[in-house]
Amino acid sequence: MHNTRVRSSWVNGTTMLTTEWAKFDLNLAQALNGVDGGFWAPQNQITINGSSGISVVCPLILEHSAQFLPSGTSFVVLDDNDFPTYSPTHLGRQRTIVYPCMLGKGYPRVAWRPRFFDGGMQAVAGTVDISDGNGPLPVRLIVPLRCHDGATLTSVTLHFRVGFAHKDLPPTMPKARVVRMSNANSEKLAPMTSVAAGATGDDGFVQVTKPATVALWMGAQSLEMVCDQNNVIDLSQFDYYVEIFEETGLTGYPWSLLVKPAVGAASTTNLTSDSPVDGVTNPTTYLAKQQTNSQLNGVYAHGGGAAPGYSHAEDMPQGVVIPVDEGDANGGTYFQMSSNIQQWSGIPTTAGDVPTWKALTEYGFLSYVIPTPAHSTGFLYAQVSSTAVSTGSTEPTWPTVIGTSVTDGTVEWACISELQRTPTNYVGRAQEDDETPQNAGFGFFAHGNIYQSLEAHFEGIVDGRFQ
Amino acid sequence: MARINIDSAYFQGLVPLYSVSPGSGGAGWFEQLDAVQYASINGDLGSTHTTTFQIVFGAGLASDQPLIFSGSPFALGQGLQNFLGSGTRILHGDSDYVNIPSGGYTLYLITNLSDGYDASFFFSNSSGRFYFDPSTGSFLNYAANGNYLGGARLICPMEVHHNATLVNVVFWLTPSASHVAVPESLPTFRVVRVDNEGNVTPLQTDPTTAGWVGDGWVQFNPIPGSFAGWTFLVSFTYAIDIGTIIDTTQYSYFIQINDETGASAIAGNYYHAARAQFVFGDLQPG
Repeated sequence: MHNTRVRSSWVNGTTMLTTEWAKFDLNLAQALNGVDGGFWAPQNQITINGSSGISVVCPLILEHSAQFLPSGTSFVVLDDNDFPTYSPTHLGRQRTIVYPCMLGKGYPRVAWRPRFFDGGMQAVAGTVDISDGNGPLPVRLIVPLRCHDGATLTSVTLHFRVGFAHKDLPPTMPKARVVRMSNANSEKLAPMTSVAAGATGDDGFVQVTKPATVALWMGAQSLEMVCDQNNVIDLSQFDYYVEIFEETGLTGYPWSLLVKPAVGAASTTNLTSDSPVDGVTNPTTYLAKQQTNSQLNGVYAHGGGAAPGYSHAEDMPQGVVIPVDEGDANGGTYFQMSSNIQQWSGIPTTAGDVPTWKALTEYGFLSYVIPTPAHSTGFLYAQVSSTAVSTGSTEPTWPTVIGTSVTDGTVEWACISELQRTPTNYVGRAQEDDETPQNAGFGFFAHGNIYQSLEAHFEGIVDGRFQ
Repeated sequence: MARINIDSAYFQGLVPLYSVSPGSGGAGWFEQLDAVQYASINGDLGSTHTTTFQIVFGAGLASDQPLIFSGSPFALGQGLQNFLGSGTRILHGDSDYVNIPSGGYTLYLITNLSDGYDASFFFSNSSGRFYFDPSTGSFLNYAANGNYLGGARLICPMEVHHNATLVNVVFWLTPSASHVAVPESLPTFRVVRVDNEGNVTPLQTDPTTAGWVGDGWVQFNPIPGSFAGWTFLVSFTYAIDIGTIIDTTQYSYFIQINDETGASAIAGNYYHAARAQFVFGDLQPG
C-alpha cells in the first residue's frame, strides 16, 4: 500500500528517550496512514467486509490491467444527473451509426420500391409531368435519423447505387439534406449544412457532383453532407431527418421518357378505317390503341400508313408518351405504352377528367381546362367570367402565375393551381429480376437509383448515458 | 487493514542489548518489530477485516492523491455507490466501458413486422401481397390473393444494439384459421446484414440447421402434424451463427420472410413481431 517505514534507528545499548518514543509514534502513525503514498503489492488479497464499507471522497483510479468487479446485487449506483464520463481521448467520444434507408418513407409512396434482396429503397418512378416541359418532378425519400443525444452530428454520408446504365447523365443529379424539425413546430425545419459547407443554397441541399462521363454514373456512389449548423443533437426538442431527392430530367436515363409529337386523336374502339377517330375526322396522325389484334396497335398517318417518326420499333420503346391533341374522349390527354406489346395506358391528372382547351367553344363559370399539349404550362385554369360566351379562335398565352388571368375571346381564364400528374400509371410492378443492381429494370421504369443507407458520424460524446 | 498484529510490547526504560539480539529486548528485536509493522501496515498477508467504523479516504491515501489499483482487481461485493453529487462521475479511460464479463447481460429488442414493407412480386412468380392490418398492428397476407405459388414477401429493418451478440430471433405469426391442410411449403425466414454497398450476408450459415433451405433461409419447423396446428398463434426461433456481433458502424440489419406457398397455401396469415435476443458484453451505447 505504501513504502513508508518507521524510519527509526535502533542503536545497541541506547536508552529510549520520551522524545524518541514520540518520534517513533509519529512515524508509525504516518506509516499507518500512508502519508508518503507509494506502490505496494500485497501477497494476499485484502478484504473489507461488514456493513461500514469504504467511502472514497477522492478519485479512485484503476489503471493498467486493474479491474473493477462489483458482484453484488446493488452494482453501480449513480447519483442524480451522473453518468460514466469518457476520457478526453476516449474512442467512445465519436461514433458512426449506419441506418437503412428503408426506415424512411417515400413520396409519392408508390414511386419507391423496398428491395427484398438487399433492403435498399429503389426509385421506380418519378412524378412525370410533361405538361410543363420541365421533365419529371423528383421523387423524395425521407429517412429519420436515430441520433445520439448531446453529441455533435458532423456529417451524414448517403450511400446509393446507380443500378442501371444511363444513356446520358441526368440533367439534375440526386440531392439530399440533413434537417432537424422542431417538435413544437413541425413546419419549422432547420437545415444542418451551410453554403460554406457545401450546400447549394440556404435550404441546405447538397447535390451529387456530376461525374466526368456517363460511364462513371454506375454502381456504388456516395454523397457526403457536412453538418456545420444546428448540429448539436437535442432530442428533447428536435427530430432529425435526411431528405433525399432522386435524379430527374428528360434526357437522362432511366428518366428519359420519350415524348413523341402529338397525334391528332386516339382511338376508343377497334378501328376498321382511319376515320373518324374518337370523333375526329381524318386526323393527320392517330394512335390506334384498342385494336382487336393488339399487334396492329400503333401510330398511323391518315391513310393507314406508319406515321412519320413511328416507322421503326425503336421509335416506340416501352414507356413512350404520346400526347393527343383532339378527340371527344381523349383529346388533351396523354397515353403511355405500358408494355412492349403495344398496350397503352392513359395518364390521369389529379384534377380528374379536365378537358383540353378548344377554340370557339362555350365554357360556363368555373369550367376547368388545361392547355393543349403544344402550349402546356403545367398549370390548371378556370373560367372566371360570369358573362362569358366562348373562347377565341386561337389559344391564348397562358399565364403561369397562380391568381393571374388572361382574356380569351369573351372568356377569362385564371391560373388556379399547378397541374399535378399522378405517377400511378407509370409505375411498373417489380419483377423478380430487378433485385440485383445490375439487372434492375425489367419492372416498368424500375430503373431508379437504389438508396441503401445513411452513415451518420457523431462527435463530442462526453458520457456513456443510455441511448 | 491487515490482520498482522505487531508482536511486541513496550517497557519503560527498556535498553536494547546486542547480547539478547534478536530476542526479546534486543536491537534486532526492534529491527524485526519495524519490519513486522511495515508488513502489517501494508497488509502483506492480506486479510478479511470487519471495520467498526467506515474508513474514509478524504484525500486518497496521502497527499491528496487518488487511490490507485494497478494491475489488480478492485472487487466490490455490494456494489459501488457514487453519491458525490452532480458532476462527479465514473471516468472511463480510452476504449474502456463498463464490462459485464461473466456471461454478459441478456436483453431483447422487439421489431414490429408492420414496420417493414411488402416486397412481393406483382407478376408471374407471386401474387401474394402483405398489407398492414390496423386491427392487429400486424402484416396480413392479403386475403384477396388467390395465387400462392410464389408466396408473399416481407422485408423489415431489424432493431439491433451495437456491439451486442445476436443470439436468435423469434418470429410470431398467426396462420389463417381457414387452412384445411398443411401448406406444401411453410414460411421461410432469414436474418441478414447489409453493408453500405448492398452486399448481403446471412446471419445463419449452418446447413445442418433444422429446416435449412439454403443461403440463410430456414423453413418453419417442426411441420405441424395436422392443419389444425397451423391455424393459431405460433412462433419460430431462427438461430444466429454463434459469435455474431452487431456492428452498426458498417451494417444495417434486416428480417426477410417468405410466406407459405404451394399446394394448400392460402391467404390470411398474420405476421406480428420478431424478438431478437442479444447478449451485451459491455454498456457502451447501442
